[in-house]
Amino acid sequence: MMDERVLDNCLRGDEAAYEELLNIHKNRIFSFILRFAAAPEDAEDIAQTVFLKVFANLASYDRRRPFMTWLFAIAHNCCMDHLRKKRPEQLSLDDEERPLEIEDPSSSTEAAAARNFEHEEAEALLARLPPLYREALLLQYREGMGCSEIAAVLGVPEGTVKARLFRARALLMKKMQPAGTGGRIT
Amino acid sequence: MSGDRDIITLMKALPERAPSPDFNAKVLRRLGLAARRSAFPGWIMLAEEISVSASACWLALAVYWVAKLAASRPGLMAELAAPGVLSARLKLLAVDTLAFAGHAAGLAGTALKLCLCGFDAAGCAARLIVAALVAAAAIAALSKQHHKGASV
Repeated sequence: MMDERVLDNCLRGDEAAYEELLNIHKNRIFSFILRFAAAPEDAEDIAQTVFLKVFANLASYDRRRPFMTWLFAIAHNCCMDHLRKKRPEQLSLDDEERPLEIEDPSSSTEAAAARNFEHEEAEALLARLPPLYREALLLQYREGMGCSEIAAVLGVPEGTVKARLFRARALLMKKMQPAGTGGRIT
Repeated sequence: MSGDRDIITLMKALPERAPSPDFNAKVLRRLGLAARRSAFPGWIMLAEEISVSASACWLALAVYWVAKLAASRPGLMAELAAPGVLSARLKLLAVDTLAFAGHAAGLAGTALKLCLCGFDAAGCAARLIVAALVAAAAIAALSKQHHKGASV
């Protein structure tokens, strides 16, 4: 939970408070952005822009809303602007492997053990998803947001978030399988 | 469901990355720059644009007049070297030089402001293009007038 004192001090122009806010959130925001940007330098530039926008618009931030939702909404907008400029084709939800054959959940063996992933393998699997699916999964599983919060971040209806999450999960599971990393491992 | 468990495991396997160590400094520097830019009222920015444009025009005109004077008076350098000789044109040139010095001071002020607020390359380029166009138009008009005067 964002400390109200830090926000108040930021609004007073206290540089130490700016640094405190940056230290609290920079790694999460940078990690999130890095999964959309082609290079770490791009991610860093976008992350800087995100925080500049945060500081510039702090006075208009509605404190009844969770700070993280607001922060990630700004990060989402900056990422989408970046993708629109650099790789607009990636904003499509189409996948090269369509039509997607969604696995029947009942066909997975309940006793199957969840496997362990290496960092690189996890990054590579996630990178194979379209960005709009990727961010929905990241916000749910990494940031622990619910559908309503994700909807607020992305600026779309909750139903759209649920549909994206469903398809994202199905697509990810499908992509995990060819490499023998699926849930059917016994 | 193992599939969902796999996704949770995969998401947990994603490492948290950190930006470069000077990330905070870069943000704060950009923030300070933005704050200083917004601290200057609009009329100062307008005055700066007028000052830079006028200085560029004046510089172009001064170069033009000196070149014209040198071309029309081949013995100008000797005339300048001669003691006590100051033609009306040279007095004019001295006035021009003084005025130009005033503009140079204006330019120095602009440069100081640019140092404080950062260099706006796009803005300066746009101003210089406008100034060059104005100077070119002024030179063309003066040349036309000069030719008209010569033919009369």
